[in-house]
Amino acid sequence: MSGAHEPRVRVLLVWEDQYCEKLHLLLKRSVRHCCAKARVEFVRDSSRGNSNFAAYVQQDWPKARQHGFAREPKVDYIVCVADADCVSTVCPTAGTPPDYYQGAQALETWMSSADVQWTKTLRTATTLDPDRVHGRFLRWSKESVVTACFDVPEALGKLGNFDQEKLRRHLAQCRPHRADSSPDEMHIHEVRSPQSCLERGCASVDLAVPRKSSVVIDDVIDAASKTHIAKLVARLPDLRMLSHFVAELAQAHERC
Amino acid sequence: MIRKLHIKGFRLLRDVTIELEQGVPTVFIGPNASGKSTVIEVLHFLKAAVTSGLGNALTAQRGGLDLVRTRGLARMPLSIEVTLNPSEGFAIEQDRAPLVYGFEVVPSESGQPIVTREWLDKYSHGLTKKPLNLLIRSDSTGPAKLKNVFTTKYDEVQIPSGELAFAVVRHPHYPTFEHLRADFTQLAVFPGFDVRPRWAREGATDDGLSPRERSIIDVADGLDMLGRNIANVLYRMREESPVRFRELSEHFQAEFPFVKSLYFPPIAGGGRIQLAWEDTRFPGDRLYAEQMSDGMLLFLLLLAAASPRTAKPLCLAFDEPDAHLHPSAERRLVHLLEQAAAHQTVIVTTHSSSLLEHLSDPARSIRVCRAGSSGAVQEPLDADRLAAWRDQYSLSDLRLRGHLDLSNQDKEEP
Repeated sequence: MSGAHEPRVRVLLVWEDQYCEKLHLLLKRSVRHCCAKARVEFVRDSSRGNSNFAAYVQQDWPKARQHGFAREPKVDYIVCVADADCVSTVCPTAGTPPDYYQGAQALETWMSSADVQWTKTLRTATTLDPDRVHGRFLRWSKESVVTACFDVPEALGKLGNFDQEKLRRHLAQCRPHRADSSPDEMHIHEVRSPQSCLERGCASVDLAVPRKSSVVIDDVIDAASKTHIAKLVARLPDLRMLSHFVAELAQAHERC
Repeated sequence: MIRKLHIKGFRLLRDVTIELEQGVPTVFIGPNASGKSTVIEVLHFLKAAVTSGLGNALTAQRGGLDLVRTRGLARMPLSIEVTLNPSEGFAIEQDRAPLVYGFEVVPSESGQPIVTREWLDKYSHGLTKKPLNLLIRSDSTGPAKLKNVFTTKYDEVQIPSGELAFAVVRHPHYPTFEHLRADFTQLAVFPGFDVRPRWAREGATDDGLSPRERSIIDVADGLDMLGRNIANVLYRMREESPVRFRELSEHFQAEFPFVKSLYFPPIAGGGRIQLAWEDTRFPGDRLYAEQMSDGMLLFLLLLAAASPRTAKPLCLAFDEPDAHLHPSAERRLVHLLEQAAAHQTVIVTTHSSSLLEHLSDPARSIRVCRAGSSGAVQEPLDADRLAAWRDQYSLSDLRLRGHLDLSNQDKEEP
């Protein structure tokens, strides 16, 4: 009989933000959506800052791997997840992202190489199962998830009461690209400054801009990922890739 | 919005000036017995003096002026001065100029309060300019001088020696008094919601009323001090401001996702309702406020208190609102308090380090209370120095190391 009692692969996701509950939930929902059969159990933790990942791998990964946490058994893999807009702090060897005019493909290539570089860097921080240590970047930040919900009123409504029609008019005037008419797969390439997009969007409908790590940003992420996870996965390709990556880890682990 | 409080001779507050931040909540921290809650009490005292009279506020509610005054200095008067921007209740913009209101009280030989001085100044061009004295009262036995807006001259009015002028003067010639009275009546002071379940209230000497019990439908939309009219407040909000009620419900459900809905079934006999809720874990069952956990009910009360209301109070003040709350609910509470602080003065006292962590601008918000032989003081933090340390340490870390407030064990020695 298969089911809930079968052993699952335990993956520790380490986020830079200590308020990572909703991003973690977003990833869980994404994995459930993209790879429903993946038998993964997620554990979350925070490095409390984007400059602390290496220290986390050095000090905390051995404890998590060998003993687990106070309430959780030991973990099988660690995946550190950081915003790609902090790449110069998190992994300086990854270089700077290509500019907008080099195109989406150049950005995809740079993202893959940044992930590889960061994984290499993190692995040098530990001698305990370094091949179980991984680093992945997400474009670009929590605000990216919010901007990806531009047509999900029930999620954006968490920012406050505003006129949806006004926002639609604002989006229609966006330059160089209109978020509302770009293909989903191009969203992350075109909305490369999510914070300023959010600020301009909020200003257009007379809303206060939520501060970084505000609880309302979490509410937007939660509401959107609950009902529109397919849309988010389509617009945030790194989320999809991370979900597949975690699922593949689980499958590979089972094969071993 | 209240901008400043100058308090003399009120319990531990021997002579303090408290600048209250605009746009962010002012959060008082410090060891026990350092005067944090006394600031909240001063606000309640002001409200009580207006609504039930100065004598009653001192004698019936606090056991007498001698129990309220600072100990040690026999003849020290009790004095309170409030600097405020009047609320939107003032119809004419000119009347919304900053006001400074103050009074001084000493006990008579029989212990009754006597108002020895009272003043009300309006500053139409900012607080640094010459004030327009609307009230001058410098002798408890003589008349008070009140500025008459129609004649622009001073009228001499006899006011009982134990009462405050603006609390008893009711005349259209002195409109500022009426507005000030309305503003002070609207002070929303919450010294601690009574969320005890029924079993814990057994044997209590109070009247047995609780936020968990039925509520009589009435027109007041403000939450009472202990939150006992929560069902009525939420019911009225749902009926009259459905958008606000939906927002409040969403905040509640974000912390307690198993709550499907809040509703208010009537109680047989009419005129009374009860707070009830549906729980997704027990479909079809009607649950009542009595079946909420202390933390759930407290969070709902805080939401109701902090939600924008039809009449925004001059000031929202909470004494240790974080008891029973999970840190994630504290985060949302801080968000709501910061939202409320955009429109009104918000004052909070706390012992919770995790609540401090969620503040968006701790250097502006936090006031550290410390009580020494010369009374209690409230000190702000230095923004630059705090920023230098916060690169590496959380506020909780700094607090544990004694760099924010001292503990009760730390003796103040030279």
